Formats: sequence, structure tokens, C-alpha cells
Amino acid sequence: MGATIAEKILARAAARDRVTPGEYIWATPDLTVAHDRDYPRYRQRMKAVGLHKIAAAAKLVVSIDHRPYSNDAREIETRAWTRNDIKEQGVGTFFDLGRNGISHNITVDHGMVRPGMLVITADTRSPALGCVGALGIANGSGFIVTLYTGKTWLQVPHTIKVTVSGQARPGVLSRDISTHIIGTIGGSKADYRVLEFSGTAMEAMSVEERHTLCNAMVDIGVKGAIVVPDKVTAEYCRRFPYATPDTFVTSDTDAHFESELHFDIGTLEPQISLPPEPENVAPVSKVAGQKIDQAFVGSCMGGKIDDLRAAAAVLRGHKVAQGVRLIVIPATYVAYQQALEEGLMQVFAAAGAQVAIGTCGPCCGLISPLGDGETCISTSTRNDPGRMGSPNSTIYLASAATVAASAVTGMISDPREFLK
Amino acid sequence: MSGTVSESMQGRCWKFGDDILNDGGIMDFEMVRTGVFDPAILGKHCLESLRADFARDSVPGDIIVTGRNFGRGQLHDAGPFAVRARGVGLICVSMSRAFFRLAVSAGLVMIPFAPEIEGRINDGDKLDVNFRSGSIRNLTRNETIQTQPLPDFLWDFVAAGGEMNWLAKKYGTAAGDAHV
Repeated sequence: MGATIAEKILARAAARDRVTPGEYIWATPDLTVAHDRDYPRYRQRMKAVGLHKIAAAAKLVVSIDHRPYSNDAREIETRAWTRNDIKEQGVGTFFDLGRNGISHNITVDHGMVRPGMLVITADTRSPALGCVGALGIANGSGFIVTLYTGKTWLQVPHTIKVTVSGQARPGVLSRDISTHIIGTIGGSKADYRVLEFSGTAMEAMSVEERHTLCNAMVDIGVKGAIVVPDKVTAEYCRRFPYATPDTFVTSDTDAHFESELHFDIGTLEPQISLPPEPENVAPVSKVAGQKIDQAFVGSCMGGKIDDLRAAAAVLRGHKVAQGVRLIVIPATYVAYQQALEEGLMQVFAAAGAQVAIGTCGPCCGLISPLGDGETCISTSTRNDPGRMGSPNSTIYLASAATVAASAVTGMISDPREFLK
Repeated sequence: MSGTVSESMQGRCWKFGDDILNDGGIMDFEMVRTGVFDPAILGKHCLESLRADFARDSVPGDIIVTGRNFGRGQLHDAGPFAVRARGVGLICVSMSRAFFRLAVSAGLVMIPFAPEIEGRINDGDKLDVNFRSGSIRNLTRNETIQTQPLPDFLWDFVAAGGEMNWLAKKYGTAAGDAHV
């Protein structure tokens, strides 16, 4: 019997001919990624017990993304310690301030994630890296084992094949499609699984749009999400020539999928996640008119160049409503530079948006946290009560177009009104 | 906690339902947002928003018993470290992938996938659990439930007191609790 993409990637990383779902393996990742909140904590724990050296430091990427602007005394001390440790250990790539970005985005914006790679991260959202045909797996504190040994233990997951077909209507973005899919699959079916995406709607998506889609799957518990590599992947590879030739890993025709799911998105309208969790999904029209206090375009999920373009297309010639705060944060310095070149930052400035660069920001309440009783609409990852500030605040999650439209009207709004 | 991990526990069952969130359930968002990692503080607030009596009255050796999909949400380690700090065991009908990974890493003494327990353990029951063999004796009901224990591959990490202690014992030089 053949193997799925995830099984092939894991077999290679474990130096095995094949692997079987359910078994435990030791695998060697091709790339490892950490950020300013996990790297120093794990390194200091290691050092406390005499584990000084990082194995395979050349493969390690560290980015400043959670707290670039903190003036907290502990943070200042930790940052200095981090910079020094990174230098001492010969960490392969360090994205320090000015060249920083959210770790899940900057690695793609720099072409470091390649098709067929096994990428291990500490932070939650790495399944997003499946946008270029790689397998990104998040290990939390288990990242320490990888830091010290250069390896990771993994249970081989089952794969579910997901076909997405149809052509999205104008004003319906990758985020809407992603939200619809997680709302339909729900909270448990995809837990522990790898979702393998293909179909005509996937072929029409850019790498960034695929990143959003794979990223969204984290919230239904996936271990990984992979878009079958194709022409778009090949173009990404050409944009960032790589030292070794890329090999597209695809599933064998007789690979075993645990199940197969089909989505047709041709008639989909803009979607929104209602409180209290991402998979609680409805069409935007259902909550249109709900008053908001804050709107946020940003995070690893909604701060990419395509999100910035979608927000600017709505905001052009409009002002943010009185009494509403709009925060816009390009996920990386690369997206920021691109947005400058395309004149998008000027649109945000003219609309009256607050801007930062390359940081998670409001997504986890680190910039402009929500106050008691406030309501926010956001492109970010999760809407658990308290995630963006007060536990008595309310969070809706939607596309950059919907968030921008809502910022202009001061209430949750269908963006298609602005795109006519 | 860096010493030998006990394979069995005898204590009171604290029962929780299905779909308990990690951030915002097991641990308050405020702790996660502000980056509190001190096990003593985390332990004090473990599951507090869901059951204040658990946070106040549970003692080491007690056992948390949950429904399906325990620890949903983000892959943040404040929740598992809080459970660990309480010194309690953990038995779940099922556990989310993210929390499972963190729970092994934190060295939680647990039976994470025990569908056999559904409807057979009540809050407050006295339990005698052998986590190594998967045998749960419900002393209150005078009944034994056999479950699937962690495989040897993962028990190695738990027996060492979590991944950090596993590394420390295998390769490290310093003694003590590597989690602190």
C-alpha cells in the first residue's frame, strides 16, 4: 500500500522506508523555529541542568515576534540574554528588530520552508507551513528535546483527504473558506490528524492564502495541514532558489486516507466565528449590525500581504468610525515593505489606523488589550473570552475585508457593500 | 518532583466535563497572557475558574477525571504545569492532541484515552489507580475498570518527571527539578 505526504515526510525524517499511523518514531526535523517567548525560557531551563549546547543550531530560526516593544524589566534582561545566547550557539537565523516578523510567516516570506520538509516549532500555529507542501508540527515545551538532541518523538498521524472545489465569489476570501471548513468539520474529527488539501479552489490560492487555510485548521486540533504542491508551490520555489533541489512530496495513488471530505465553496458568503470559539461559525449577515470597539488586521493568520491588500481595498477613501480603534500589523517586515511599495500603508494612515510591524500584538492581548465589556472583530487566531484582554470582552473572527468594513461602519458589516 | 514518579495513586475523584479548554479553562488567560510560569502560582489556580473547590481542596494523589477532548485550544504549557504542580493524577475519556503533547512533556501521571470510564466514575468517588497497568479500582462502587495505559515509549518521559527531567537525567550534570 502507498503512503500519504505526511507518512512519506515522516519516514524520510526517521530514516525509514515507511511509517504506519499510530506508531511512535524519532525523527530529525529539517528546520526548527522558535520565538522570543519560548526560546529563552527553554534555553534557561536547559542551562540550569547543565545542557548547554543546541544540537543542529544551523537549522534553527529564532524571531522576535511576541514582545518587540516591551519595557518590562524581566523582558529587557531576557532579550539581552537571548541575543547573547543566539550568538554563542551559532543559531542559523535570527530575525531581530527591524528584520523581524511572526515566526510562522517570516520563515515563508524568506523562502526557508521548502516542500517536503519536516518543520518542528515550539509555538502552536506551525501547521500553517503546510502552505508550501511541508509538514509543520507544533511541540510546545517538547521543543526542548529537539533543541538538545536535534530530534523529536512523534506519533505518526492518520491523514484525511480534503477536496475543496468551486470558485469563490467576489469578497469571499481564503479566511472565509477556512472558517467555513473548520465550522463544518468541528472540534474533534480532525484532532491528531493531518489534513491533505487539494482541488480547484486550492489551486486558485496563493501561498499566503494557503497559509491562512492551513493555519485555521490548528483550531480543530490538527497535527498538520498540507496543501498538495503544484504550480503555485513551484513558483514559490523559483522565487527563493534553494541550495538543494526541491522534491515535491505527493501521496501515492493507493495511499490510505482515514476519510475523505469534500467542500464546494462556489456559493459561500463571508463567514464569521462567533464567541466563544473559532469553530462556532455563521455567515457575517447573521451578526451584521453588532457594534464594535476595536478592529484588528494582523497576526500569523491575518497579517499577510493578501490580507493587507484586502483591508486596503475596503478602506481606500474611508475613515475608521468615531469611537473605533483599528490596529493594522503586517505580520513581517517583508509584508510591511511590500505594503509600502503598493501604497497600502498610506491607505491605513489616511483611514486613521494604528500601525505596528511584525508582531502578534492584539491577538494575544499584547498590544491594545480589550477592556471590560468591549467588542472586537479581528483577523487573528482565536476568540476564547480573555484571549485579547478582559475575560468580559467579546471577540469575532473574520476576513481582513470584513474587519476593515466593520472598522469603517463601527459595526459588523458585510465587506461586499464596499467592493461594489 | 524530580525523584521517582509514583505509578499508582489513591485519592478522591474530581470530575470535569467534555471539551475543557487549556487556556481559559485549566489556566486563566491572564496567567498565559502575562507569561506566568512559576509552578507554585500556576498550581494554586489550576482549574480554578471551573471548580474553585478543586483549586482549594484537592490534595496530591487525588485524581482528575474528565470527559472527551480535554485541554482543547492553544499549545501553551501553563495548563499542564499547573496540573503537575498539584501532584494529582489525570484520567480522560480523551485528550486533545495539543494537550497530550504538553502533558507528556510535563510528565503528567495519566491515562489520556480511557473511553471505558464513561458513566462509571462519579465526582467524589475514591479511586485506586495503577497508571502503569491502566487498572482503575473504584473503591466507592467496588468495581475495577481496565483501560489502556500509556505505551512504554511515552511512560519513559513520564517516569523521568517529564521531558526536561528525562533530558537532565540522560545528559545533564545538575540535579534538582528541571521544570523550575
